[in-house]
Parts: sequence; C-alpha cells; structure tokens
Amino acid sequence: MKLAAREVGFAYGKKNVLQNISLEVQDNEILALIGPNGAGKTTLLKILAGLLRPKTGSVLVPEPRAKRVAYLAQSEGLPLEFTVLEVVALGRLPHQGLLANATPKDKTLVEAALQRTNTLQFAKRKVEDLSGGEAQRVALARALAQNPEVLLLDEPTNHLDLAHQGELMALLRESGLTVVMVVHDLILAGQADRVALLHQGQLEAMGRPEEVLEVNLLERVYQTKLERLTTQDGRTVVIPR
Amino acid sequence: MFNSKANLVILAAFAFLALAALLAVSNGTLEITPIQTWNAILKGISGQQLEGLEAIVWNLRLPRVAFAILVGAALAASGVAMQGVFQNPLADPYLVGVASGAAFGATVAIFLSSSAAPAFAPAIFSARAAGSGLVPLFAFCGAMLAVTLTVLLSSSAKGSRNSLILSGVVIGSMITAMTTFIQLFDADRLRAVFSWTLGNLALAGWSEVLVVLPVAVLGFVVLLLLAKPLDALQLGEDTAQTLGIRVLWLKIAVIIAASLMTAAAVSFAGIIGFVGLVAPHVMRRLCGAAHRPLIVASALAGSSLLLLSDLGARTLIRPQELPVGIVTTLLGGPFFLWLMRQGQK
Repeated sequence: MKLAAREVGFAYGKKNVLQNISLEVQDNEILALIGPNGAGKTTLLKILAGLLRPKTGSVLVPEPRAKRVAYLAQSEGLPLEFTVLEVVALGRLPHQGLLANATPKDKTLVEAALQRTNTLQFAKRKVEDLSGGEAQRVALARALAQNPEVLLLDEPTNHLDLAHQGELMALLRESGLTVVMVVHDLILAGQADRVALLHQGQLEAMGRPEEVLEVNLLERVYQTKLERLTTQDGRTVVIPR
Repeated sequence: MFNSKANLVILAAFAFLALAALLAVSNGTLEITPIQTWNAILKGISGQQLEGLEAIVWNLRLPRVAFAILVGAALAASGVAMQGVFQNPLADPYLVGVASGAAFGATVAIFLSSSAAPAFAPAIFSARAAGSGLVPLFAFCGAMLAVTLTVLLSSSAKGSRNSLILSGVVIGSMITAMTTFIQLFDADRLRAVFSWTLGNLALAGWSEVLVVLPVAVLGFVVLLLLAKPLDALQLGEDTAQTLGIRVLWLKIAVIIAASLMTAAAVSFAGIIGFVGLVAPHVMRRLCGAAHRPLIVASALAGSSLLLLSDLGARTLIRPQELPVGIVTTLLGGPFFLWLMRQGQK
C-alpha cells in the first residue's frame, strides 16, 4: 500500500473542512471520491498531492512526490500559446536535471502518453485551437508523461463526451496505476473499484460501489430523491428520481 | 537546440539585428563612408591611432550601438520573464517597482548635485553636474531597493495570488510620490530629471557597456536556467508545485534576475518603455511561448527595436536628438495596437 490518510483534519481559517479522515488506497486500485459540493473532496485530494498540509493527522504518499505522484487539477488551465507537445513534455520536468534537456526516454514516455490519450494526431497544434474535451485529454497526457505510480484526478471527465469518458475509465484500468479521482457523476463512480463518500468533511462511507451507492444513504447526504438500478451486466447505477 | 521553427526565427532575428547594427553604425548626424567605418572598427579593435571621423565611429557610434543592443536585450528578456511570472502577456519589466525606484534614485542624485541641496550633502555632489556617474549608481540602488521592498511586502501578505502586483503598485506609487515631492523642491533640475526619465543612449560609452554587460549576462543565464520551470508555472501554480517546483522561490528568483538586468539597463539609459512588451509579443507569435527559445528570440528582437529607435532618435530631427524613450513609445504604441487588431481577425 502506497497511499493512505490517517486521521486527517483540515481547516481554512476557523472553518473545518475535513475531520478525522482515515482511508487506505490499495495498490492499482481506482478509488472514486464522491460527495455533495463543499464536502471536502478537492481539499482531500490536494492534501494527498502535497498542495495542502493537513492540520492534524498525516498522509502516506510515495516520495519523492513529484516523481511518483501526478495531480490533475479541476479544469487545469493549459497555456493557450503552448503546443500540445510542449505541454505534455512538461510532465517530464521532475525527472530532468537543471538544464531540463529531454533524453530519449523522456521522448518515448511523452509519445506513449500522447498515444494512450489519443492526442498524438494533434501534438503540434496550439492549446488555443483545442476543444474542451481535447484539452482535458492533453492535461491527462501531461500527468501520464510524469510516469507516476499514483494518479490524483479532480473531475477528470468534466468536458468529456460519453465515448471519451468510457475511454478514460478503460485507460485508467489498463494503466495499472493507483488512482484517486474526485467525480460528481455517480454512474462513473459505479465503475470504480471502491467509492469513498464524503459529507461535511467526514468520511461517511467507504466500500465497493454496490455498498456505498445505497439509496437511503445517498438521499440523506445529497438531500434529494434517488433511485437505484442494476444494469444487465450487474453494475450499480444511482440516478435522480 | 529548440524546435526547428524557433531555431529559424532566432536565426532570422539574429540576421536582422546584424543588419540593423550595420545600418546604425553607418548612419548619424555626420556622413561617414562605409570604408571609413570599416577602417575605424579595424583600428579600434587592434588599438591603432584613430584619425578624424574614425574616432567618432569607434568612440561614439559603436559603443552606443553596443549599448542599445545590450539594453534592448535586457529589457525584452526581462519582459518575457515578468510575463511568465505573472502569467500575463501585459506584464512588463517595470511592474514590481524598477522604474519608480530608478527614477527616485536618479532624482535624489540630481537633486543632491544641485545648488539647492542641503548643507549635509557631501561636497562631491555639488562639484558634479547632473548626468554624472552618481545618477546611474543611485538609479540602480533605487530600483533594487524598490524591488526588494515589493518582494518583502508581498511575502508578508501570504496567500493572496496578486500580492506581488499589488505590492508593486503600492510601493511604486509611494516612491513616485516622494520623487515628485523632491522635484517640487528643486524646479531648476526638473529638466535634467525629465531628460533622464525619457530615456537617452547619448551618454553611452565603452565604460558603460562594460558595466552593464556582466549584469545583463548574469541575469540572462539565470533566466535561461529557469525557463523550463517558468513553462511549468503556466500550467497553474498548483500543477507546477506537484511537478516539484517551489513556486514562491521561482517567482522571487526570476523577479530578482529580471530586475537586476532592467535596473542595470535603465540606470544608464533611463526609463525606456515598450521594448519589454512589444518584442516578446511579436516573438511569441513567431516562435511560440516556450520560454527558453522565447527569451533568446525576444532579446534579439528587443535589441533590434531599440537600435532602430535610437537611430531614429539621433537622425529624425538632426542635428538635434529625440529622447529614445519617446521614439520607442510613439513607434511601439501604434504598432502594438495594430498587432492587437491582427490578433482579433
């Protein structure tokens, strides 16, 4: 196990955002972080990424973090005048020396990241010429080029259409990386290995999708009427009623 | 070294600069033939006795051209750096107080050298006229003092994203208020202050070139080393940090390197506007926004821009001279507006 939080608490000023969060992420597992707005999902992800320091408790994260953990911010603002290739190549920066000259290994990894995210065909285009979904895949390619063991994603499917959402999940599965992703889409959450439900800064429930995606629990947390369906292939789906 | 397109742009910018330099050396108030110019350069390099007009070429024109190249490069490179730090293409080298600090220093130096100076002013001040060696020294110190205050003030206000810009504006305004106050005291010297402020390369000799050169080279090397981290900063501060970059230290290092270059340049040349804005803007379109090639290309473009502006400044109304800062702004302003219109199409 590489990734865990132990009794993590966090506050912005006097406002408590996270309280006493303990969770362990298994290697090669995809964990979905769900919860209503303001539940503390992004804050927890930023603590795992090292962007915020927990006020109490601690996190277990592979070190050196920059080489082994990649973080993808919510709608990562890519620089418009950079080319796709230039953006993705920045993922190699933690592995390069002071002069930051690309080695053959860097080039191979960058190209592989472009290929896996299906962005190689527009590698020379400028970011300003990309659609929202294309830009999101480029941002993911940048994170993959980092060649991390752990991938922390904040709403990675925001701008993706249905086909690309499916591709993303398949890509994450086949990558074999340990993934923690914040998602709002409960259908997507149902495809993760496990789901962690945050509510008002506390870990309300954690377990396999069919355990956590439970109507009574979610109705209480989200304060809205829900309905649970099971698809023909046995996946659990929760939708608004 | 860079991608092939950027290489090409850099090569073209270099060739253009070489042509501009040739043009600037062979033109001026006096008509000097290309052969005389060539002889002067050869003799100057080999240390032989210069005759007549050759002395003008070697002692006046050449150092002035070299100085314009140096100052233009410094302003443009630090413009790119500031734009990278603030993630804003409209940032310029003067954003964190260099200009107001330098103007304050120059004003103090000019004031202390005047007859209105208080009795405690040391004797050396009254002995020297405005434009003496003390003006650049004071301007440089004033500029670096202003930048230091800005950085210190912003780091004491943690958390605010815009704290650097805000403290730059506050420090700049306060210093300008003090500058104006001193100027009110001594209206006689106002002209000297103004002519320094507007920018002028007429005082540049080989010794000025040799003082600014090492500072400019040092700043340039630091900026080139920080170019990749600056690229990463464009992904946003959070992402840059997860790529292992210490964002605050990167910003401070870039600002100090850029400010050193700018301060060294303006302390001799005065506040020359627009070079740090226009040159990077043009080059970003031609060779892309990755900082390493952009810094090199912009430096070359900034040199050409200032060189040609200075040529205009000393030939447009000959035998008199225009302040070069006025030429860069009056030429650069409309050009910039034209570029913006092009960008919208």
